Amino acid sequence: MGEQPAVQRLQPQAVNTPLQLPLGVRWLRAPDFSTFAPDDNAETVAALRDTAAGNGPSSFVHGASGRGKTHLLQAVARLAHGRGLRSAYLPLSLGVDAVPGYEDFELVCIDAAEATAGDPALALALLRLMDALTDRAHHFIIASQLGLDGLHRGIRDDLYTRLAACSVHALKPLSDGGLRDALQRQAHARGLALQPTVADYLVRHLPRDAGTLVATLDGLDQASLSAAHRVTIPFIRAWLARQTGVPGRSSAQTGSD
Amino acid sequence: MDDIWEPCLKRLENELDTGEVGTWIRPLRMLRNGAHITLLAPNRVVVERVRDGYMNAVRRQLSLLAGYDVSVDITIGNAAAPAGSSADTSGNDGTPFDSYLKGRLNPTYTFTSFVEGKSNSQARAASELVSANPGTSYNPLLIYGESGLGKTHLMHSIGNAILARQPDARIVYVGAEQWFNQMVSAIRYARQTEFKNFYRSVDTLLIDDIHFLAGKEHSQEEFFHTFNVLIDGHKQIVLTCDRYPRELNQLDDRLKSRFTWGLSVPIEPPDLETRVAILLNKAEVLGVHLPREVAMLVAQRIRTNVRELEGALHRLNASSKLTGQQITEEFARFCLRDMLATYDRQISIDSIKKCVAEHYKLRIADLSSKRRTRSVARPRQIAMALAKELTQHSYPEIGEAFNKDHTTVLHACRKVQELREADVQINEEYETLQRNLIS
Repeated sequence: MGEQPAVQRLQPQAVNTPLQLPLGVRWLRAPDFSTFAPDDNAETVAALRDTAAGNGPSSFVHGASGRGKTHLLQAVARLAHGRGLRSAYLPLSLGVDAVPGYEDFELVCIDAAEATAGDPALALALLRLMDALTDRAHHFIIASQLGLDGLHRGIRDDLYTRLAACSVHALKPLSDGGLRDALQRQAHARGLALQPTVADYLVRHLPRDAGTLVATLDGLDQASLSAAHRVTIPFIRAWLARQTGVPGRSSAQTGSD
Repeated sequence: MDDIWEPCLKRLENELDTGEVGTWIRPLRMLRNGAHITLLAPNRVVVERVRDGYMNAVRRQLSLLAGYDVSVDITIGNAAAPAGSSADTSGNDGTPFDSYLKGRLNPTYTFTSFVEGKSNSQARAASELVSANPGTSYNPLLIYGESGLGKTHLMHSIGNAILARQPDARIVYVGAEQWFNQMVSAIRYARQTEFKNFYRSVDTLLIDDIHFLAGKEHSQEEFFHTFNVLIDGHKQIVLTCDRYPRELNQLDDRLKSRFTWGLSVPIEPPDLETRVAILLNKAEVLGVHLPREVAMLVAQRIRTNVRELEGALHRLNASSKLTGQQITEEFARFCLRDMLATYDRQISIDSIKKCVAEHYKLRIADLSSKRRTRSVARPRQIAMALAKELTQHSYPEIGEAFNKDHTTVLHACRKVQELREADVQINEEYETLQRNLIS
């Protein structure tokens, strides 16, 4: 039992029904708060939304890869811009030359701060930017895969203490309910109807990181358009069986996170 | 900002890869001159990426929105100060050095907002004296101590206080690394004379983090001459360093000597009372009601530096605002549980035993032995007192760790307190051990 019968059931349909070619349109919706499932991170999300309104304090957000740091930071920068604040999203993975010039921005969302560990020039550039923003009473949000303790081993003391002065938030992994919520929010944003049982199935059968789940959703979205078939559990089984492994993550959705 | 820029951003969000607009396009500013549009980017990386990847899309959308073909170019700059006058104080291009005067002083860093305690009173008193009589009292004034203890705050306070008395004073605050970068740029752009003349013409020079000059021989040479000119001209120099300069490796002996010509004052990590006062003061500034017992709870657990206290307060304030709950001890324990757990993990009775045994050249086992000679009993008492102060263990738990009962621990804590008050050397030993354990 399991996946094999589902594949067999789908095969005749795939042969007899001509595939509908989906339009060459990708899902390009910019990350925003409506597609982020807060789950146990509701307080962090609310704090960052507050920062996007120009209310401090500056924050340091840490959590393992796949917990949505990039999504949150891009959402904050976008929301702040919409509220009239001069804001920017700045991933430190771009390197030290990408850091100067943001001193006059009212809010800078700085991603991938773990890149400063073992990179003194980048750490110094970040330190300068933080000082310049603080001097102007502007704000920043810094995200890192490493917590303060982990970063401390690789960065200079003065940068560490400045990070420690931020409001520190740990992003927790999503629970099953949170993952289901995340999937349904993403599906809803794509105009895709995803029944709770289907969302449950995906959560149970796929790796538990939001990036993989969302990438799978993108694949299913395309497959369902091609096959002109609703996304059902048998359809998912068949689709998964055709994949040669776990689908790659969508850079569009997950960025550097 | 021109009214076609925002619609352009919206259209590009539907056309380009998600997130790319936020990273590369949204930070741009637009200047429009008829059919010619200049985009201002924060730095070279953004210029190159936009030019290589997005220029056609941007030009197309802007032309559509304008209703006619526009030409678009991109350069570094911002709308307030285009092309090359970014806030970076690297002294490149044609930025006049005079633009570094006064403007970099943070007006919120004043003596009034500085919380004084035993650990920083000497540094504060010296700073106030210097600001009242610049160039005459202590020259140079050197403030040294670890990061996050208030050196920069005092330095800005000196600058602000002098400026309040003498609004025309030429005051420069600069980090040693920025000074170094400015010097390198000055050499690169053949502006050495301008650089020298500028720094040798100021009334007060505030240089932060001079430890960054270590190993930079040419900078040290240049700074040596600037230093001499200013001191000879009775201009005030204030320096900060992360340690006593004589402990700095790769720093010219002549500079080490000159840095300590005037007055060198340390800033130590704040004691408990000062930490509580700092928290209450910062809470007042933020308009947060922070009960004294919560300040005490946080200050007891977070001992290393002021910025971490600030971080804890920010977190409490954010959580309280978001949940609508008042800040109580229980709320603080829950809200800061991760942070406090980290601090608790850092110091254990075992790590205290190890540190004390190393300091007094004993075996760790000696501290738990029955030996009662003073050479063992005194370190044991100090270890017990440290365990009580730096961990959350109870008297009985500490006693058990040392094979003693809780009354022995109680006695040890009282005894150490008496000794610290009566004997400066023991007090210093205790504080050294405490610092080593905390850092």
